[in-house]
Amino acid sequence: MKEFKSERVWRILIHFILILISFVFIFPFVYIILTAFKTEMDTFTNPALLSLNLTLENFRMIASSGVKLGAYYMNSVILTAVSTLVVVVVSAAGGYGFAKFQFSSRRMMLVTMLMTMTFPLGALLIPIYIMEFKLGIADTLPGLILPNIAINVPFAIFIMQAIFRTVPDELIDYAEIDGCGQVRTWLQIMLPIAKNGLLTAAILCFRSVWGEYTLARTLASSVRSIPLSVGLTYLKWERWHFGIMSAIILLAIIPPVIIFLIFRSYFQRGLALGSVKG
Amino acid sequence: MAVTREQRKRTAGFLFVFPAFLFVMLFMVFPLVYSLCLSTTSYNFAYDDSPTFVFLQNYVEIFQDPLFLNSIRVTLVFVGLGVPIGIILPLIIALMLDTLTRRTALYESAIFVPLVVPISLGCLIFLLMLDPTNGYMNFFLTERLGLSSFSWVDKGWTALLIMVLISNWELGYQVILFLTGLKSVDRELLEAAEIDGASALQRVFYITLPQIRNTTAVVSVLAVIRAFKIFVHPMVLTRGGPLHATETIYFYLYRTGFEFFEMGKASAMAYCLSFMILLVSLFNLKIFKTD
Repeated sequence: MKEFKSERVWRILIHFILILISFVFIFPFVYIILTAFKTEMDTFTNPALLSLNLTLENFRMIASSGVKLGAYYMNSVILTAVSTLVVVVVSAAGGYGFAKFQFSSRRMMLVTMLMTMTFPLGALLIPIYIMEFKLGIADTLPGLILPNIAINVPFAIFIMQAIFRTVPDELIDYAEIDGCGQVRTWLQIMLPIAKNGLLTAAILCFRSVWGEYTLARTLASSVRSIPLSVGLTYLKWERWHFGIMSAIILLAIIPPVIIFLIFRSYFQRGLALGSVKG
Repeated sequence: MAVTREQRKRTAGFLFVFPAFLFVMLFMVFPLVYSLCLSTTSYNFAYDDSPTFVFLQNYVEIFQDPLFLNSIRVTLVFVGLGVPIGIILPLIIALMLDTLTRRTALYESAIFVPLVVPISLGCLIFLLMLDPTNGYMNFFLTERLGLSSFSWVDKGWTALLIMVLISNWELGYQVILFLTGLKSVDRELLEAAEIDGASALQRVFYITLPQIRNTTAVVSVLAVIRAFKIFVHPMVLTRGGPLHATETIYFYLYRTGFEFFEMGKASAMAYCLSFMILLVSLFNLKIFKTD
């Protein structure tokens, strides 16, 4: 009986610590949500968390004032949507090719892809900047989309390849006997099987591009290509209104947070897979 | 000459992989090679028309540049402070989550959700909270705890320490990796040890930890790599200040390239950084790898 009791105390203690830790991690969200609905007066005179004067004023200000939030938002949406789509398609094909076909340059291509993952982005910034400057695509959305695709393709290929390896070879042979071309086999038989992998790759890619800062900070210099992750950091030098800033940040993190809450298990499994790349 | 089925399959395989390979070649492999070439040239993007070959001069010069040496020191301090936290704390959290049989979803959501917040925006949130005049932290310290307020950006060491802590807001990644590793631990062995009267701590140290050695190796490599590559935090939080106290290698190479436009020197620094990361990763793997 004594054993049982200490077990329970132990369990309650663990729950208590975990609640405390969870609170610390969640606190920044709580803070900006509460601040986003505060009046401007309150953010200055009453820095306490809760205030009784809740208002939508901050959101109205964003809509009416000349904050370039709309443009940044559009840029982020286009950048992320296009990059994710291309990465998923290209790596679904590449992963299939690596997993199910033998060809002479296969090994070389695979090793090249895996090698690039070990280099820090810092080594790419300077050459990509010079390249894009000379090609005239610096500070354009395509100029951001292309390198974003490239840096996300290797890990997505990695995930897709792992998935396609589990598919039995016979399935391809049967399809061929039935008269399916290679592309049709891939499109109509393989992709539906790899649905979960596609979703995982898409979610991880979405997260990575939406949050990408370094490339965008280097390559984008005007409203026509600056995404949220960079644009908002410029706002802080313009106006330091806590309420408005919080509201803007809140709007910018809502899409990835919602996707995370819906697809948490995919997200977790995907990140766990990614560890193999280390 | 008829094309055999085998040949057709080979071509198909190549064509499936080709688009992905093209992206990686054009925007990763080519830039890396180009950068290596640039690192042996003197090339000021603002003044020079074209790069001049100087061989290894950049590599010699950057190691005589006190600011570059400072950035190495700052990065090492950052790694030394951040990596232990980034390994031990996630391990403890994962061990605790692993003992619970249910109701972990809420805790996991809370700890993992910072991972989807763009790092730069996470930094902005912390800047708001830590603001010396209107931030919540100082209000909490002065009004609620009765302590004196402090400005964390005034002193080098507090700025660096806060940066280390903020960068660990995203430690959920390591927790995920540890949780995956813990799934493979032999449950029967743990139960047997429990029956034999081993305490919880003994079980962790003698059974669980040895069995997740490989996971620990992976986590430590990733944590070290991440700490070496720290860039967004100094960019958004401190701009390298106060007085270069938070100027990491990555940050300094960025300034060299895009503020001073010394593309050759910046490329040399980038290659030094890559080399250091490679070295430390190999060293780490050697320590932890059992097989």
